[in-house]
Amino acid sequence: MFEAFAQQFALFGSAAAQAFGYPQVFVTMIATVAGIVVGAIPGLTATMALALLINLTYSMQLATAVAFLLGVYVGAVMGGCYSAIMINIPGTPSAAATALDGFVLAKQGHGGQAIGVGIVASFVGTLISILLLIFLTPFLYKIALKFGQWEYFLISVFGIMICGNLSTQSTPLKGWIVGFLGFFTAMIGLDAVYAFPRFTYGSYDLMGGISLIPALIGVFGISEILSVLQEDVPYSIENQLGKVLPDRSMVKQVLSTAVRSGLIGSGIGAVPGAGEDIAAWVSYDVGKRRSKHGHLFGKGSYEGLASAETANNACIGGAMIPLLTLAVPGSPPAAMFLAAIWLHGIKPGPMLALESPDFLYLTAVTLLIATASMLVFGLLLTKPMVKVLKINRKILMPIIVPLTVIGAYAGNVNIFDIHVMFIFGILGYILRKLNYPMAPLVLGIILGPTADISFRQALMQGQGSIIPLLGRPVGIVLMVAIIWIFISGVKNSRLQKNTSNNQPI
Amino acid sequence: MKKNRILVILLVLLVATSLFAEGQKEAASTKLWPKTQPVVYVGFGAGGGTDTAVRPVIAKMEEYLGETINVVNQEGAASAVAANTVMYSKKHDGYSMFATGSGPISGFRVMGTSDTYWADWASFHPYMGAAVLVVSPDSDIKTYDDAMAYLKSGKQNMAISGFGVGPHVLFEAIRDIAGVPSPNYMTAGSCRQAGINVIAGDAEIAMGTFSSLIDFIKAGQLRALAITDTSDYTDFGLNIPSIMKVQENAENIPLLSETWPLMIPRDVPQDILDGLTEAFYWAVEQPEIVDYARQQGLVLAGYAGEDADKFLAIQEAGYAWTLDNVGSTVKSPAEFNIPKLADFDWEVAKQNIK
Amino acid sequence: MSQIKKTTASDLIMGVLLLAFGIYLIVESLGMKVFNSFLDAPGFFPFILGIIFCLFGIVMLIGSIRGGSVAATKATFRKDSLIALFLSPESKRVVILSFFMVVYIYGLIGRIHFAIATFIYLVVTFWYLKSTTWLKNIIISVLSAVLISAIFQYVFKIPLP
Repeated sequence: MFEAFAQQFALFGSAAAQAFGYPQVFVTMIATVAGIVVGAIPGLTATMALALLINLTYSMQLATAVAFLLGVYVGAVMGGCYSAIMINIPGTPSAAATALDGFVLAKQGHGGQAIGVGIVASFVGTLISILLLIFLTPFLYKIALKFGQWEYFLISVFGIMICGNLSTQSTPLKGWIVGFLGFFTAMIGLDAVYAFPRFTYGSYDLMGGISLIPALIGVFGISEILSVLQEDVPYSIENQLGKVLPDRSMVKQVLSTAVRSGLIGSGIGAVPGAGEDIAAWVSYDVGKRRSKHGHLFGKGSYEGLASAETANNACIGGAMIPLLTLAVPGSPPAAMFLAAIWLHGIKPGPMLALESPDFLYLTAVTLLIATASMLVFGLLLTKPMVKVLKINRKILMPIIVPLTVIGAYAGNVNIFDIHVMFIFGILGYILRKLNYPMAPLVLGIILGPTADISFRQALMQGQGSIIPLLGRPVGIVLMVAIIWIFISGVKNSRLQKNTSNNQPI
Repeated sequence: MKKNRILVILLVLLVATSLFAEGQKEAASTKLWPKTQPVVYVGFGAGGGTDTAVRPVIAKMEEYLGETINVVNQEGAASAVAANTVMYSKKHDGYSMFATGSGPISGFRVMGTSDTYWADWASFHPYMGAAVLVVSPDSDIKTYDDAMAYLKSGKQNMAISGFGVGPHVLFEAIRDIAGVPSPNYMTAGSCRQAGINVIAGDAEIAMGTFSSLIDFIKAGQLRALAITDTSDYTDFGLNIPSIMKVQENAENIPLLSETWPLMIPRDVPQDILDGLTEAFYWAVEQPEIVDYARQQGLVLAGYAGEDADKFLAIQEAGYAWTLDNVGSTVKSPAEFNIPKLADFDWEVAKQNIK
Repeated sequence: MSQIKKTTASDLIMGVLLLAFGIYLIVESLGMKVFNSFLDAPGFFPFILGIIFCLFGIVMLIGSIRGGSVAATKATFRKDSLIALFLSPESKRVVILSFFMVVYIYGLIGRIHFAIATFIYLVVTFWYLKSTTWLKNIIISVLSAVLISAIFQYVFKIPLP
């Protein structure tokens, strides 16, 4: 027992030495800063950045490549919080939960402090997830195997149900409608099992399906640009910057939220196929129910901001668990990371502990360095970022348009994707005017393929019968959760009918 | 004051970028792709079998050419989506390439997902990989014969990555010879996931690319019953019998083992074809590439030019007819004059190249 | 008050649209090829979605009719309120701004260099929005267009559209 422990400790030591070695430690820092900047630019996402960087890392040493990619990953996920809070253009559906409270705070003139809280929350979240990654990987691996096709299907439904429930102040029904519209959008293209064209009307472009990133940039970016510029005098962010560093009472106020959300985030991140997007919404939901000031969520609550943002980042560590134990990535950027380490001969899976025993620790320590740099540089960059993002909307918003064009184009290098982005932008604008939230739509596009294939697969596995599926324990838990969300959503919509017309995200 | 701040920010950025760009500038005339960076559209997901087979070689080719090659993943329809993008939506100017498995591209026409086939493309095949039949180590199925008996006993669940890709077609060919009825296929999306389905107990048996499952097999989480290679696999202390040893009349099966080629429309400018060929032959000889193959359970192929064309033509004959035999096709291979493997003649097939 | 009226009217329209869309999905999905059994056929999931959309549509219809939407809809479609909706300065601005984007995305990109297209788009948009003075408009547009193109082309090495 003790020997095994000592051996692990030695491995940890050698991994730490690698991660802190020259030039890795500097690479991590620089990459984190670069990631923050990329994440902060509306239209550019962590997935895109990692996708473009994979080949660049091939010629690097393994430790340097890991440092580089994880730095960008951590930085970009956190950087998304700047644009979500300051201009209400989230880079992912999970950041949409951040924007819910963050943007309200920014408009009230507390943008600096909101970002400060967001960064500290991100830090706590990632820290917790790293600890879980180190100590719980062998156990969580067993749990991950309990998730079969049926559970994947239920998770996807659960994801859009909970997101639809929370992302709007208006009735949850609207959120759910939009979520299922997202599922439909994901159906467009060639079916993944038989390659049968669905809703493609003979177009080669549509056969490729609607890609996630252009749709995301359209509904969050273009529609926000139009919503802001339609006003003759767009809102301006209050000039007072406020403090960036949250003071002690503030930290106290959000710390327990952050720890709880960190645990939720890592746990959900560890489920293959769920990913950070669902994590942020679940955590937001739990936060809202547990908080004494739950009714303030969505109206500028620091607790709400912290629950979403912590879970969002905690997922990074969580997603590494199925990635390292099963080679099943939990989210699109994690998939990119997987591809990159595979090229370096690291084969995540059962042999990892034998073939590259220190890789788990290398990942954990590098994540730790990246997280620390994110905290430091994130806070340092906040003041200048807020100043830049505060400039006149009539100048800032048009400049974002070419950025969204590039962001949509670069993922697949396809002109069609720019058209998709624009059409989704207009669609998003109209739906928004009618008080429909946008986050469930994007989440639906992400989860739609899983829902479709897993459902059909699960039925095939049961050879056409649903009965054997109903007895699976994880499945029962999920079904109960879905029904519960449905009932509480219906109740809420009765209560809130016609009382509120707050702008949804 | 406020507006001037915008100007200052922009100016500072401009100076920084122009300095950076100056440092990056290379003589455009010596470049293979002077206008912008070329893009490879990989037809399967990042981190999947095809992706991980072509990326190292592309990276080595980049090194040789001294240029950046972008790689993007465009999934869908066993890579037909990416094939259609490159063949029909992009100009044939050498800036767009495609990567897939030799199996999927051989099935496009008969499965009705795309009109393009091997003769439209020049291809470069770095690796070849066999497929394995696997079960869980605690399963009652201990040998290949047990597996066949199990599959004959009724409509059993079997995991594969998807229809029309290598392992599926290889298994269809095997069951055709062995006289096994069609199992209840569960498509897992990737070979790795198919293996995980068996480990998790969702399926009793799976067929997947060896390189995607090798570490599960090494770790004893999966038992390999047969490999679609001409000889037994004995590296890393494993002993996996060749399909030819455990199944009678299986001589043609290894011919269907997949490669993962990098492809470019045949009618692109000649200098780009030449440049790619040169870089490819150099890349596949590099020790990292050779080493990578051994580690991943792959065989170095190194086909380009006519070798590559001939290989793909044979694959098409094998895949199209196997798929047709089991009723997975939309159109008959005969409509496209695809010969059966037994009738294959390269001198005839060659005529398809324009 | 008018906001609520508009919402119930839009709920009614949305309910009808959803119902129609759901029926379309069901019809379309039943027409898709069945390979083995309907349970794993490509049309299976769209079929389920169709049913869900129909249910959503019905729920919305019932809710909005109870909320007095028929009258509200009639009110919305009266000539003067339609005029008010379409000729309001907001709608006009959105239509014009979207038009600039259409020209930029469908007309300019891919035909002329990305930097030039971006410059034209920015100048026109800034001018229309009266964002700033002419001189600054041109300077900011040039700088942004060049910068964005250069950064992506040389620093990130992304091919531009």
